[in-house]
Amino acid sequence: MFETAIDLEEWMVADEHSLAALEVATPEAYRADYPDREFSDEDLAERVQRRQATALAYDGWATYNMGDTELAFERFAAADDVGSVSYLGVPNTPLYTFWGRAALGEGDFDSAIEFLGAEAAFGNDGSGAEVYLREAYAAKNGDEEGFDELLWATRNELATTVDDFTLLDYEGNEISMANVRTGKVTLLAFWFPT
Amino acid sequence: MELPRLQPLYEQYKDQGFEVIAIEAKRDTERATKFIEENGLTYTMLENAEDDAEIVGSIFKVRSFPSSFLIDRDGKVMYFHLGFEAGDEEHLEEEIKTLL
Repeated sequence: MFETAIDLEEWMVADEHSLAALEVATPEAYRADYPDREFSDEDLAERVQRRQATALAYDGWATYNMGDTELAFERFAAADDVGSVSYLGVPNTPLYTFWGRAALGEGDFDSAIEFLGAEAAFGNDGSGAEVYLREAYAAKNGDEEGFDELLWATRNELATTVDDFTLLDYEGNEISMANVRTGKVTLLAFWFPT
Repeated sequence: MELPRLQPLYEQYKDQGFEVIAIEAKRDTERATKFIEENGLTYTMLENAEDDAEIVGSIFKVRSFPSSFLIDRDGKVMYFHLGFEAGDEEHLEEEIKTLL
């Protein structure tokens, strides 16, 4: 088994992460992590699902680095099935980075570019994925010429059109998002005071 | 998003058609208004709605803060940022310029 391993350390670290995520992928564990908050059953189910999907993503990466490629890609697909995507349509787990890196390792540059491109553009680990995306792009094309254009094209292709909404400002006025942003470049920032 | 760091960007580019909308997710009105005043923030500041009408978690699925979306003139979300470290405003400025 160790002879076929691709990367022992990646395997062990990913395995640890997977087990840790799985251990807390229950409603009880989630509630225990946030004792002062209340969650609806639906909300809680979604949050637990994310932990399950995270566990599977790490499990896939561990399995790949262990050397069982076929099983690894099955695990990635299973993580994908569990779901848990962000508003922008990208998994909010490391799945696409791992899946893309595994595809890169197997010489499947097109799949690597697809997964890593989505993550680089809109994932939680965009800059991390971009490093591997460059690698995949250069492996496919011989050099990095045109890379910036690829990333820009990916953003355009996958971009979500933002929902409209109406909320109150601090003077009690109803403000519609569409009214503020139409024709403008808009930064929509979510925060809370600490 | 380190909100105060957005104020200079807003002032610099608003005449070219740049807007900032900040949504306070936890409805801590007192602390939010104090923060806005202390930091002289003049861009659009909104408060998340309550319960079924709330949008931050349910529509935008935001769980980690700060999170931000940079939206082009046609309403397409072109960039996403999770967190905001020192120096991130330079990347953000470059991104804003590509969309203006």
